[in-house]
Amino acid sequence: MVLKRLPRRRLLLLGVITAMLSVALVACGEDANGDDRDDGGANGATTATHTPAGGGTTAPTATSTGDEETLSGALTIEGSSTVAPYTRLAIEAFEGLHSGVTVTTGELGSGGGITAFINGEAPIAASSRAIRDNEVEQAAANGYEVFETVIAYDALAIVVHPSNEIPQLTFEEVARIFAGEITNWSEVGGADLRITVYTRNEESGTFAFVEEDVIQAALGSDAEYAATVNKQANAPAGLTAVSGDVSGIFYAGLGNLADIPAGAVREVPIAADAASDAVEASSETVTSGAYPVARGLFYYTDGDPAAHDDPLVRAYLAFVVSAEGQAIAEELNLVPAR
Amino acid sequence: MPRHDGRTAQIGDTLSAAQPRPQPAARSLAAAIRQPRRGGALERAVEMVIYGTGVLTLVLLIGILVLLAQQGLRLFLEFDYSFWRFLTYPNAITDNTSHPEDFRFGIIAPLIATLWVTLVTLVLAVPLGLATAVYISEIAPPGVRLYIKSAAELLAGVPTILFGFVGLFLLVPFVRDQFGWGAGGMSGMTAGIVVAFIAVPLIISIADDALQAVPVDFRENAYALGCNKLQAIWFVIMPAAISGLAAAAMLGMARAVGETMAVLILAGGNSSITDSPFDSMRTMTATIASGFGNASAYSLLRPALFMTGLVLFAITFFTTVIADAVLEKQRKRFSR
Amino acid sequence: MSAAPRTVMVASGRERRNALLQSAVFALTFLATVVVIAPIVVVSAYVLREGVSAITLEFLLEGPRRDGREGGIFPVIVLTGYTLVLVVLMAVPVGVASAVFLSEYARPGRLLRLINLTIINLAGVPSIVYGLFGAALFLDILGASKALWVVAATLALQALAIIITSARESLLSVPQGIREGSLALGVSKLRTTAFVTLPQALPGIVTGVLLAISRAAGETAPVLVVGAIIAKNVDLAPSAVVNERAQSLSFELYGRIVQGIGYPEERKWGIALVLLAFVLVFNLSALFLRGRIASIGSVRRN
Repeated sequence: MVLKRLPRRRLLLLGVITAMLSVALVACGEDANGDDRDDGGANGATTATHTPAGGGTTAPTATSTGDEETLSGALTIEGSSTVAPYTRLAIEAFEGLHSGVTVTTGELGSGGGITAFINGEAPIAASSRAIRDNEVEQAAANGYEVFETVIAYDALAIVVHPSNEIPQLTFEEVARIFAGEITNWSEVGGADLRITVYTRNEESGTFAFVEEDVIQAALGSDAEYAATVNKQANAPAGLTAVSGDVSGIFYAGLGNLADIPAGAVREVPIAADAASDAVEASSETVTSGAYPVARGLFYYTDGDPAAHDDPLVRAYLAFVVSAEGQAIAEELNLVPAR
Repeated sequence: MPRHDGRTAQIGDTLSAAQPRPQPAARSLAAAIRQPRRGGALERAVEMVIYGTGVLTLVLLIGILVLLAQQGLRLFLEFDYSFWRFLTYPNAITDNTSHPEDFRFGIIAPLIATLWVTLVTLVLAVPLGLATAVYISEIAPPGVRLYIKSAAELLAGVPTILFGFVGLFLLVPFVRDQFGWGAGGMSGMTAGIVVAFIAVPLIISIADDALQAVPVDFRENAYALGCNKLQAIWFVIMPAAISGLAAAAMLGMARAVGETMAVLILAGGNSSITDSPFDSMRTMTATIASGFGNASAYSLLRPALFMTGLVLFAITFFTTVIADAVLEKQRKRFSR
Repeated sequence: MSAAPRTVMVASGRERRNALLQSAVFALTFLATVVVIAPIVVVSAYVLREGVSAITLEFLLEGPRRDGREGGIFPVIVLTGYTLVLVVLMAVPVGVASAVFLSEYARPGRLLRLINLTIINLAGVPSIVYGLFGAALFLDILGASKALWVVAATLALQALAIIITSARESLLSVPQGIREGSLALGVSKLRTTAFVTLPQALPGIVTGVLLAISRAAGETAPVLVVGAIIAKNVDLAPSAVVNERAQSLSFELYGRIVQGIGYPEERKWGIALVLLAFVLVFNLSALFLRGRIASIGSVRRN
C-alpha cells in the first residue's frame, strides 16, 4: 500500500463535521417532535404548517369551521382488537357519509392503543378496559387530558373447540380455569383432557379485564392468571388456536366472533353462580345482567371530542354516539351505550 | 482529468484510463511530480470521508451497545426496579406500568425459553449442517457441490416469516395431532425445528470453508497411510478443521438466539419458566416483539425490553467473538 | 481433493466392512444434504400452489378494501419498493466507502483486525436488536416520528455489514497488478481506486447489494418494532417516505398470519408468494452474477 500521511487531523475534522451534522439532525428532529406534540395527536387541521414528519397521518383540510363542514383527510384509531370489528363497520359507514375521509384502525390491543395515544401517535385510542390511573398520569405528563366515551357494552364469550360439549361453566369456574386452579376438563364436566388455556397478550384490554374483573372478582385481589397461560397476539389469533385445539379455551368479544367463520369455535353458556341458569352471551343477556362477563368498550381522546381541535375526531365520535353509530353496535350484538 | 467515458475499466484500459493530461514538454519530470494535483483538495476531502466510514462500523457497534445500555439501565437507575427481581421473577409480563411494584418482569423465563429453542436448533442443525458440509466438501462431484452451495445460499435468503408461515401450516397441525406438544402444537420444539433450517445454511457455509481450508497434504498423507476416504475424513480432515467446525456451530447458535418471527408464531405464548422444550414458551426475542407496542415512554416496560435486548446482544456478541477467535486459530494454523 | 485409493482386488473382510461403512456414512451425508435443501423446495412449492390463485391483477395493482379482505396490496408493494430504494441509497455509499477503506487504505494491524471483528459482530446482531437500536436512535434521540424513512434507515444499518463484507471481498480480489499499473502511471490513489479498482470489483459489489436488498425485504422484526402498519391506502407519492408509516410485504404477511381464521387463507399465501418472488429475484440474480464472476476467471475462490 502507498504510504499515507497520519490521518489523525483528518479524523478530527471529520468528527467535527459529523458532530455538526448530528446537531443539525437533532434540531430538525426536535422540530418534528415538537410539531407532533403541538398537534396533540390531532392532525394539525387548523394550523397551516405542513410538517414533514407527521404522526403517520396527512394533515386533513377543513374548508370551513362551521357545523356543515366538507371533511377530508385521514384519521387514525389505534387499540383494542375487541373494539376493532365495531370500529371497522363504523368506519365503513362514516366514510360512506364523508367521501374524502379515510379512517384506519390498528389492532395493537388496548394497551398498545393507549400507549400510542400517550405517545401522540394516534388521536383516538380504542380500549376494551377502563384506562388506568397510571396511564392517565402518563398522558397528562405529555399534555393530554383523557376523556372517555363509552361506545357500547360487550359480552365476553368464553369459547372452546366445537367438539367440546361441556354444557356450561359458572363464573367462578371460568375464573379458576384461567387462574390455573382447575386444570382438567373432567373437573367441570368434560372429557379427561388437560385444559390448554389461551389468553390475549399483555397489550390487550380484555387480558386486563379478565384478570381484574373475572379472576380477581371471583378469587380475591391477590389472584392472577396462571403462570402457564399461552398468550396470543390478538383475538383472531386466539380464536384460530382454539379452533384447532380440542383442549383449548379462550375468551373474545362478540364482535370478534362475528369476524370468523361460523362454527369455528363454540361458545359456552355461563352461569353467574351455581344457582343461576347458564345463558349464552348476547345483548339481551348483558342488558338483563344474566350474563356475568360483560364490560364497556371505550374510545379515549384528548379532551371532550365535541370540542376537539380536529374536525375528523369531532365528527367521528359524534357519529359513534348517534343513533346510526349505536345501531352498528346492535348489529354486532353489543349493547348500545344509550 | 483521466478520460472516463463510462465503460467499466478492463485490464487493457489501464493505460488510457489513467493517462494524465499531457504536460507541456518543457517541464521536467521532477517539476511535474511536485506540481499539486488538480482537484487535490477534493481528493483529500473524499479520502477523509473514506477514513471516517472506516471506523463507522466500530461506532455503530459501540453505539448499539451504548444505546441499549443507556435505555435498559434506566430500569434500575431511574425506576428503582430491583435487579434481583429482574433476574429471578419467574414470569415476564409485559404490562405497561410506571410503578415498579406492579411490574412483574423477570428475564429468567424468556432466557430459558431462548435456550430451549436454541438447544433444539443446535441438536438438529449442527449434525445436519456438518454432514452436508462434509458431503459437499469431500464427497460430492464439483458440479453438484456448486448447485448445493447455491441452494443453501438461497435457503439463507428466504425470509424467516415464510418459514414460520409454512411451519404453522404444515408442522403445527402435525405435531398437535400426533404428539400434542405445547399449546395446540406450538412449542419450543416446533419452533426449534423450523429455526434449525434457518440456521443451517450459515453452519454449512462456515463448516465448508473450514474443511476446504485443510491443506491437501493432510488428505494425501492419510491416503498414503492406507485410509479410505471415510477414515481420512473422520480421523484426519475433520479433526484438523475442528476449530472452524466449532465456529460454525457457534455462529449457528448466535443465529438461532436472534431469531424472532419464527418463534413468535410457532413457540406458543407462555411467558413463565418452562422446564421442557415441548412446552409452549416465549423467548427473549418474542417478548420484545410482542411487548414493544405496549411500551409507552413512561413505563418500566420500555427499559425492561431494552435490557432484554442487551442480554441478547451480549449473548450473540460473546458467541461471535469466541467463534472468530477460534476461526483465527485455524487460519493461523494453516497459513503458509 | 485427491482421488480416494482404489480398493485392492483381493478385499479382506476388514476392508469390505470398511467399504460398507463408508458407503453407509456417505449415504447418510447425502441424506442430510437432501433434508437440508428440501425446505426450499417445500416452501416454494406450497407457496406457489396455495398462493397462485390469489394473484390477480387486482391483488397486485389495487389498494386494500374492507380491511384488506378485498382489493389488493398495491400500497404495500410500492412502499416496500421505496423502503428498499432508500436502504440502497443509505447503505451502499457508506458501505462501499467503508469497504474501500478496509481494502485500500487501512494498514494491517490491530485496528484492522478490530474492524473486521466488528463487522462479523454486526452481521450477527439479532435483527430485533437493530429494531430496538433504530427505535432508540431515531425515535427517542432524534425525535423523529414513525415514518417510512426511519424503518428504511434501521434496515440500512443492518444491511451495512452485508454490503461491507461483500464489497471488501470483491475489492480484495482485484489483482494488485491492476492498481500498481495505474499508480505507476502517476494516477493518484483515490482516482485509481475510483476509476480502476472499483469498476473491476463492481460485479461483486452488486452481488452484495442484491443480497442485502433481499435480506431487507424479508426482515420483519425490526420493522415491527420501529412501527410499520398493515396495508392501508395512503398517498403513494415519493413524499410518503417522510409522511407515511412504513408498509412492508413481510410485515403484511405477519399481520395477516396473526389474524388467523379471520383472514382469507389464500390471500395470505398470495402475499407470501409475492414476497417469495421478490426475494428469489434478488437472490437468484446475485447467484447468477456470482457465477458469472467466477467463470470470467476471477482469482477469488468461490
